[in-house]
Amino acid sequence: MTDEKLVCSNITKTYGKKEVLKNINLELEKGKIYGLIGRNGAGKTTLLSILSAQNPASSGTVMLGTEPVWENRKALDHICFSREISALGANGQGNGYKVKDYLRAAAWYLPNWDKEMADRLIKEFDLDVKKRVIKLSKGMLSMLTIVIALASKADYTFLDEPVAGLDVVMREYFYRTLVEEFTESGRTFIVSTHIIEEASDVLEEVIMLDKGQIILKEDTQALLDRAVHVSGKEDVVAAATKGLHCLHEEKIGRSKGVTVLLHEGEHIQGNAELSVQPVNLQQVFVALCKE
Amino acid sequence: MDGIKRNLLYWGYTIGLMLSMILAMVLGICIVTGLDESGNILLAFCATMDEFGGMYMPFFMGMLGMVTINNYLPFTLTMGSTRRDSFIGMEIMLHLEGMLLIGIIIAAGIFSGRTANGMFFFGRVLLLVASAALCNLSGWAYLQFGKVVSLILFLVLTITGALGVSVFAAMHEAGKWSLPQWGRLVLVAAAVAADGIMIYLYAGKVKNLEVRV
Repeated sequence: MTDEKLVCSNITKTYGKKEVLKNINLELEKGKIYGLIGRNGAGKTTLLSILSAQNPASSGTVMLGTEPVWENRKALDHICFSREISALGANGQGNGYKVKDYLRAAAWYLPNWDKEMADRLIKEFDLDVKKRVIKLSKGMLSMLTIVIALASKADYTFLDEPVAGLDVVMREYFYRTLVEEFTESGRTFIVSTHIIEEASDVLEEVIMLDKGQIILKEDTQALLDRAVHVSGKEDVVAAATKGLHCLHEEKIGRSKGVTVLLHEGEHIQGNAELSVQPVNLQQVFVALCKE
Repeated sequence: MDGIKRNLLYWGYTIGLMLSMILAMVLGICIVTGLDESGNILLAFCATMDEFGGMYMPFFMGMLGMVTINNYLPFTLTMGSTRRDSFIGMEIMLHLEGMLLIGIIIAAGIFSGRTANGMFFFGRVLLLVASAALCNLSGWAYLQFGKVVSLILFLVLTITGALGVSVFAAMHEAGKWSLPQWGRLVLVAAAVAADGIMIYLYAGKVKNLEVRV
C-alpha cells in the first residue's frame, strides 16, 4: 500500500479544437472519499481516465509520489478506474465477454484483487456470472463496475457514475459497502456522480468541475457550513448580502433569494424580515454552475 | 506477476478463445455438410482445413487485428495495463497462436495425404507470416484510417492474395511455373520484413492509444 499523493499538474486535454480540460491542478490525498461533481460534458470521465493513464493528457503530468503514472506499471498497480460499462460493448469493453471473463481479466491484471470480496459482492448483487455483458441491464452493468472497483483493492480507486441504473436499495447497499471498505482499508476513492444529495453524506471532500475547470475543491462539511440561502424582501436581502460572494439569485415578485458562500469572518444573522437557511450540496452545485 | 506475464495470460486466453471458435466453426461445417464419404469427422475436418486453411488463416488473423484494437487492447488499458506490456503480450500470443493454427493446417495436410516437401512447408510458412503481417496491418489501418477503410483494405488484400496464390499454385501444379529456392527465401524474407514493419508502425500508433470516453 502506498501513502503517496496522486498529483496532477497543469493538465489540459483537447479533442480537435475543443478543450475538454483546462489547466487542471489537483492533489489527491491517501485515505479520503472524494466526490467528483460536474454537469454532463464537464470533463469528469476524461479527468479520471487521464489520472489512471487510460488516456493521454494533451499537456501536463500526473504523478504518484515521485513516479509518473503514464505507462508506468509500478504506479498503475496502485490505481483502478472502473469505467462505466456500456451494454453496446463499446471500445475497451471486450465485446462478447461474459461477466466471468471480466472477473477473470480483473484477477489477472489487478495485483491486489480480492476474489473473496468479488464473490461476496456478486452474490449480494445476485449477478449471473455466465451472462454476457451485452445482455446485462443498466443496473447490472453498474454492479459489475462496482465489483471490479471494490475488489481491486487499489489504493486509488475511481468510480464513474457507479450508481447509474441501480435501484434505491442497491444504491444504499453500495454506499454502505463503500464506507465499510474505506474504514477498513483506508483506500482513496473518487466517486463521480449526478445523484449528489444521496452521496453527500459519504463524500469527505468535493471536487466540482465545470466546463473543463475545477471550480471548487473543499471539505464537504466545511462547504456546507459556509453556504447559506438568504431570502426576504429584495432591499433587505440586498443590504444583508452586500459585498458577499453571491452564487445565485432568484426573484419572486418583490422577494428575493440568494445563495451565498461565506468566507472566513463573514456572517449573516437572520431576523423576522430575513430568512437564512442552510443549503445542501446539490443546491451549492447548482448555484455554482449558474454563477 | 509482471505486466507482460499478465498480458500473456490474458491474450493467450482471449486469442485462444477466438481460435477455438474458428476451429469449432470448421468442425461444425464438417458435421453439418455430412462429413466426407467415409463418414469420418477427423478426415473431413483435415480435408477442410487443408483445402480452406489458406483462406481461414488470413481471414482469422485479419479480423483479429481489427477486433483486438477496437475492443481487447483498450480493455486491457482499462484494467490498468500499460500500452507497451499489452502490445508485447498481444504480439507474442498472436504469433504463437498463428503458429498453432498453421501447425494444425500442416498436420491436416499431411493427414490428408499431401506430400510434405519443401514447397508444402514453404507455402504454409509464407501463409503464417503474411497473415501475421495482415493482422498487424489491419490493426494499424484501423487506427490510422478507421473501421471502414481498414475493413476494405483487409478484404482487398485477402481476396487478391488468395487469388494470386491460387493462380500460382495451379500453374505450379500444372508444371507451367516453378519457384526457385532463392525465390521462396526472398518471399518469406519479404513477408517477415512486412510483418516487422507493420509491428513497428502499429506500435507507434498504440503508444498514445485513447480509450474512448
